Amino acid sequence: MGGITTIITTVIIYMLVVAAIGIYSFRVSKATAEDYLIAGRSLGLFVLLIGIYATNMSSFGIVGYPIIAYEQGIGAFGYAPAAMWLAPIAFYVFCHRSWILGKRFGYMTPAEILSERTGSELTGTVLFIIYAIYTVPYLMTGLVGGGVIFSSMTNGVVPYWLGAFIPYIVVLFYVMLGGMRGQMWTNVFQGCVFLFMMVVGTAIIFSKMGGTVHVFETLRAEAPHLLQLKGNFDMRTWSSYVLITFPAVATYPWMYIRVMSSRSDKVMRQTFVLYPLIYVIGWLPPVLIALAGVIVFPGLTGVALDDIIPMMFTKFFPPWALGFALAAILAAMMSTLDAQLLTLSTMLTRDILVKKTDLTDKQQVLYGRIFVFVLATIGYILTLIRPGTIFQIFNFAATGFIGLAPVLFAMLYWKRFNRYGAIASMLASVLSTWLYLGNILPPEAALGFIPMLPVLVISAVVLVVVTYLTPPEKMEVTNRFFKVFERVYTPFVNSKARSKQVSG
Amino acid sequence: MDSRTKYWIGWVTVIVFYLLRHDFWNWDKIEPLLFGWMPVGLWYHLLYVILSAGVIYIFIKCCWPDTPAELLMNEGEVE
Repeated sequence: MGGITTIITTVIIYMLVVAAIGIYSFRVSKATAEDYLIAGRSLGLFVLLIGIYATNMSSFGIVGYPIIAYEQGIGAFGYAPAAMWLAPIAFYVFCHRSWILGKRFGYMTPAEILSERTGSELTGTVLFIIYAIYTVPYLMTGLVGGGVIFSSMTNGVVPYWLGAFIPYIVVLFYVMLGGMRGQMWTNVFQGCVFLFMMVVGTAIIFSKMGGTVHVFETLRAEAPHLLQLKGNFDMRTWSSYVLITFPAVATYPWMYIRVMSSRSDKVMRQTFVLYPLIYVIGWLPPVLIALAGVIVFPGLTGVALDDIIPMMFTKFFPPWALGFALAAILAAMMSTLDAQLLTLSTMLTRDILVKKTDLTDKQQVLYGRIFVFVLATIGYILTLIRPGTIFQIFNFAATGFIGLAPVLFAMLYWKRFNRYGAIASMLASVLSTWLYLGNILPPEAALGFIPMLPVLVISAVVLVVVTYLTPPEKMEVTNRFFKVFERVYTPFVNSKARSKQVSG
Repeated sequence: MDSRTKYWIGWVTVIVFYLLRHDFWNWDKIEPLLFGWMPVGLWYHLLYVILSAGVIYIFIKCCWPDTPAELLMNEGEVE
């Protein structure tokens, strides 16, 4: 019991530090919507890099993903984390143009750009609703993860409902107070805590197990199939997973809006070059710990696998370090949860309320805070109901988001793009996600690929076909956007145009 | 080298590097081990991610233009 008290005390101290950072960021922030919602578009390298990393490292990375390493071996690292190097390319393709439009015309969300581009508020509203449908469940995975892990690591002394309530209330506090500035600063702190804990934690576990060589020799004797890829992965899913991961990360609205809050081109470039390196530090440790878990806790199946990382920590750590480990795991979850909350609130304020009413800056911030409270509370109530496993909820949300990629791409690259194609494509993505993941279609209907790929293809085909069958939009806004793009990109890819511009 | 050539070099580098992720020649191997313990299926991809930072650097140098400062000013400030 003394050990449990130490764990809980450590976590409470950690939560107080996080809340204090939220208070500090509130004191230095300005009372404008741009500052509250996207940190005044002023984030520098360190804050953006750690912030993007911490936002992307969710409960799925700690609770869901290590299962792949436990069941399918070393290939788990090459399967998803090694595919994430393409995320910066996707950020460039999807977000750089939006960032320029945001700086130039004041947009804060992709739905704002979509509405303006198509001249139809309905398109932005549909995008917002679909974002909300997929973000609320995703947000829930953080709270479910918090409840499960808190309860597991304190041997049930902290019950599931309380374990989910603690991150809910702390995140609510600092997001309502500090907005994106508070959220990014706490993310930097939480990202550093998480990275430190995972690296040190892996070293401690492997050291106590007799060293890395001994662990891998034991694995080679007991489960040699986990040390190679053959038999654990097939090339078709291996290959298609990357092609899907490529646009997927940029379609998550919380990642999209994070990138839009960058201060400059230079900051974005430096962030993207360093991004894969920080990813290695964050993702290799969970894979290694899960592999070691095969030796310590062999034969785990089903939901018991969700707990493999906390179980390893509990096995090898003293109580004070366990409290720190729990705080680090909660950090990874909270740093995604806060971004999702603030993003939904930003979209609700900017994409729905501002268009319908004449709100002042202060009113926008106030309504933003009220929405954060309402959405977090809905998420918490759903967490108590627990409609599915973390992996099921994640898969549903991720597949849904990928179906939006064609519209997000076309609004920035295709002049012929129109409102009818956009709405049809978004609805097709929702329908196909439901058909594939609701088991309405048989698994063979995905032709051996993960369902994300057919969902992506269907929404892209519907977009193109419906767009060509319906009248084009007026060219006024299209020309305004593309004139900006042409000034940025054309001279770069066309040396004749560049020399013409220079001589002109 | 003109900017159009550089632009294509940037994209081709990304595509070639993407293809290198399909290391089917390592799939049924455990050796050679790195540091005496790390199987080839793990260290290949570890090295791959580290090198990807260089690929992104090349991509940025070749494909990412500087945005003219006046375009990043709010339209209201410009007019």
